[in-house]
Amino acid sequence: MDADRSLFTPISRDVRARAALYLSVVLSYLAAVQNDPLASAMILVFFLASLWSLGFEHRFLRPFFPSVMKIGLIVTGSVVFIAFFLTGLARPAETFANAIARFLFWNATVFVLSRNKTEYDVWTLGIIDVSLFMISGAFVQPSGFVPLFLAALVCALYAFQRLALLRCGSAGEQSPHGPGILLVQATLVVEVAALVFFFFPRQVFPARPGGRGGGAADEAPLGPDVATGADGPRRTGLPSNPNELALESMRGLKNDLRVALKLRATAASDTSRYTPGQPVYLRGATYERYERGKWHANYEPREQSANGEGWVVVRPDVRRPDELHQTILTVPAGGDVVVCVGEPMRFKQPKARYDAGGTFFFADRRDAAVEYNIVGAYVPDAAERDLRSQPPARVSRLTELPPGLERLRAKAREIVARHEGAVNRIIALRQWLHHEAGLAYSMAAFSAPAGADPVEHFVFEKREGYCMHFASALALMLRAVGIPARLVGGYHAKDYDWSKQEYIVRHMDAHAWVEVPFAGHGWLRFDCTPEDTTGASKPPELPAVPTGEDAQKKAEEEARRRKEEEEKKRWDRYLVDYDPGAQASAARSLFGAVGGFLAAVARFVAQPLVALTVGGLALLAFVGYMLLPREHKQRLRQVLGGFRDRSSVDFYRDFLWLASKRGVHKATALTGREFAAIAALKLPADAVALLTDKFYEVRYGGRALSNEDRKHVRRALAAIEQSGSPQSPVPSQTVR
Amino acid sequence: MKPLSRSFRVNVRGGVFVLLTVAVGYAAVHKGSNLLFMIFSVLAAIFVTALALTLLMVRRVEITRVLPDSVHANEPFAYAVRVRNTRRLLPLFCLKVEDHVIWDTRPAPVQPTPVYVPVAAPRERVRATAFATATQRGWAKFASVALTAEFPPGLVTYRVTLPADEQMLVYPREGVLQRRVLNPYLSRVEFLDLVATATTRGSEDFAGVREYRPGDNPRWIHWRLSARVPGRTLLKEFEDTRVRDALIQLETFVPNPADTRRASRLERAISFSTALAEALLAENYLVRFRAFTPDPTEIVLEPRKGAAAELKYALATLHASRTHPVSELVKEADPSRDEVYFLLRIGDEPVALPVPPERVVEIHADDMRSMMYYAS
Repeated sequence: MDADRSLFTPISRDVRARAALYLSVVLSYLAAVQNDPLASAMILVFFLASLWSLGFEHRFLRPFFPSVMKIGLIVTGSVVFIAFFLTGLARPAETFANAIARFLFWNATVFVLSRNKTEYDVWTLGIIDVSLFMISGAFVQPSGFVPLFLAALVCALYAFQRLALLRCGSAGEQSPHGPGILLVQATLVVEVAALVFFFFPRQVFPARPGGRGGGAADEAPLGPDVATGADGPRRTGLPSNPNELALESMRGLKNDLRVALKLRATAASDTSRYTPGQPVYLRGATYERYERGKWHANYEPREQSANGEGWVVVRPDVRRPDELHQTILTVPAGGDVVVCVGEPMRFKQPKARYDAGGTFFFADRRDAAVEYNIVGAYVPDAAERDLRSQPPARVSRLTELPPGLERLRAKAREIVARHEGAVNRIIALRQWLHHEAGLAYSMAAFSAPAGADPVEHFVFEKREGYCMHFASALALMLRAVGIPARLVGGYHAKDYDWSKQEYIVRHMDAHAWVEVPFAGHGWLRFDCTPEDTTGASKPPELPAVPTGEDAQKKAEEEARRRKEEEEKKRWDRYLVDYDPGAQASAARSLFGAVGGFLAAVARFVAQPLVALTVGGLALLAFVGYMLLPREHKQRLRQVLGGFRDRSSVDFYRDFLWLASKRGVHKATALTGREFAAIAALKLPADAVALLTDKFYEVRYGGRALSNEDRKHVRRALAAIEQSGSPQSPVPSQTVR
Repeated sequence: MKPLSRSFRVNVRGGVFVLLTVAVGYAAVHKGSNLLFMIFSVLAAIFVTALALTLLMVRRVEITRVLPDSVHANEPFAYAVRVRNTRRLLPLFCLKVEDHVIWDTRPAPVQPTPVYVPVAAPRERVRATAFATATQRGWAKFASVALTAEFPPGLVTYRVTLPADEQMLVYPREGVLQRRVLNPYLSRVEFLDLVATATTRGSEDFAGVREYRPGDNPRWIHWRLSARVPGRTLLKEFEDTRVRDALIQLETFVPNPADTRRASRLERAISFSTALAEALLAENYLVRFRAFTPDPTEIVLEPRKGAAAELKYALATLHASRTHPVSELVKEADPSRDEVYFLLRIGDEPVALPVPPERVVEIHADDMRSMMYYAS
């Protein structure tokens, strides 16, 4: 149990311990992985490694898998993971979670393959388990989390139990009491964990406003990252100065996994083309003027008050069929720009400011968390087809270009030369930037040479950049051919939590795109950032609609759906949405229930008839007990006392031990009576006789020791103990 | 039984575990995710449960030892440790039992190996074996027994030290005499004795026959028996039943306790005197042993089985004398007695012997190296 001894206890001898441990790792990986195409392959590799470890590894006398190779494989996995992360492939949250899970699982596989596993390896795998479940709890949150977690917990506890036995010199043999101990420990752990979970003083740690589970609006402000300059520390959220956005401003957000906001959206009518779960764009600030790597906005917001229904309405004459009612829950923002999906129509606030360009502002700066309702006009990408005959609305300032940019102008004109109509030209330019120009998406640091425009440098020299570069290039090229365009900063939300029916928007979802005004349609969005990395044009995965089923099948499905909903409600109520408020409520319920029960019992007992009945029964029982024969009394006491010492002959063992200490050894061949005859020569004969008689009565007569018997036995043992000093020079041998 | 001491600590694994739990807790609080809270709760529960069960593991446990009958210094030995779980419901799981041995109020340089008890059912008594080596003679005191529990996953270590006084006598290191070296000494001093008593061969008891070897006295050939066994000549053998006397005097004078050279000589001489006494007893001598232990001690050993036990006990508990030089010891020798006189020296000082030198066998501790080897 010393650290140096236990730390290197090899568990290679115990197949069961390793099997349990490997199973716990697989369970944790299953909980952490989400839509990973490589998951099956990873599990297969792990399974084969486990088979090797459990079945064949021990047949090799020498380590088959030296430590150098183990370290090498771990380093390889780390390098692959880091490269994967740096190249931006792990950027979306889901992919990122999968990447970490894959990396951890790979390391677990390496540990499984390594030989001479020590306690260090067990702990490493245990930490990998916990890490995988943390990923699962933070990002994936599968509905099967609890069963997977409990199963993995039991497996891990079993492995640690076997490990402790190994440490005690038990070389992997069966332990008859192991399952019982494991059951006791697992039950205790679950009970204590439930207590901690439900009564942990969360109010002491006011982590986030709103108190919703699942990492809701807890972490950081939202919005494009705009450096505040000298007016304070750098923030990652709504710009305190939303009038300016540099090309490099969003780069810092792209690695930020924290949740920025949560969005719940409901279509106002059935004809809306909004489909829950499909990626949506949340528009924040809009920028109209470009100057050498920076976009500027010229906001002129006017303060407006809410109407009688509490809404600040900007276009009271327009009610569009594709309105999207949105509830957005965000965190301390530190800014005043309001984000929403589509062009904002109504904003539920007592007061707000609205810019004619289509941006809402809070009435004052919001440093605290906020939950707001807003209605936006949702326009999906598919609207392009309807615009073929529509010219863009003429907004003169949106066609202004800074001086220079000759190459960009020339290239834009060259591209659109073959196309007629504004929409076709927009699409042609977008296609060119998206595919034909060979521009690559990259999060690598970008800096243009002195004197060169960053956008031109991106398009013609650097040829790789991220959403800000692509959107800026498209906006400027559109302007170069006379199409008004502006740049929009916001979020491209892709993670949809189906269990809560809300979008989880992280800072890394920050995005930039281009908007073009169309008369009668408003501002329409065009995104030319490569799709495969941002998923911008990924077609929505529509839920399958059941058709042609008969009534019974539909009824069954409906019943199943309701059952699932009920389960989900319970899941949400007791786990996901459990917060300090629910905690206080649970405590109140618990104490209330206990108090109510006690009060009810007190009220019940306080009734005269009941009190008389209970008292009479108690008196009757007492009298009946007193009238019982002595033996039956003892029997009853034993029954009530849980048959304590009913058939124990430990006192005889103690007697033999004392006798052996005094030089009287019981040979195995001697019966108790024979031994008593010999022992009586050296030890008090009465005591020896009494102990022998009682031993026979209990051991062979099936009679329990009464309290009186116990007293006699104790006296007899004391008499023997005082009969002479133990033989110090020649200590006794065993009495068995 | 009131424990002598208790110690409770979170070990290295526990420290790592607590850090991990705190990290998960921080993530849970920071993230506000209830699933992370669940992981945190389970980790905290594992810690609390391990702590509680660890504390429970050492309660209501009885420890008894079964020490061996005899142990010699420098000789590894095993003894049994019996652990009884007196609890009614809870099994005993992964308990470490360590004995603490003391020699002369100082901890023994080599402590017994710890004993591990993997599992013991409620009310079950299990037996394990501990191994120890007594590094010196004397009373070995098993002063206390320490119970250490680390319930899996072994995050905390709880150690309780219980008083469990028991003594065990360790005999001197067992030496084996080189008879080829001893026999010339005996012959030298016995020659006079034989002449004086004029004992003739044949007055002894008939012990048996053996094959005749060249050099044997033909007088003792068993002609009748040889005639019955063709081709072989058998010789009568006799057992010498005379009882002769021998005196062993052991110098134990170590004036300076820090004189380790002299102390080690004494230890060697003690082993030698035991071996010598046993050899003389086997030769049918009546042995008188005299030494200052540090009190004047005389032990008379008759030639019978187990006679050396008393001497071994005395030598095991012998302490060096600081005040009685060898001259005082030799004064006790009686020149008038007809006995073989062995003087076992550990010092280099000259000494005047009261008996004729030809009757004295003076053996120095340095010479004992070649006359004796250790059994272990």
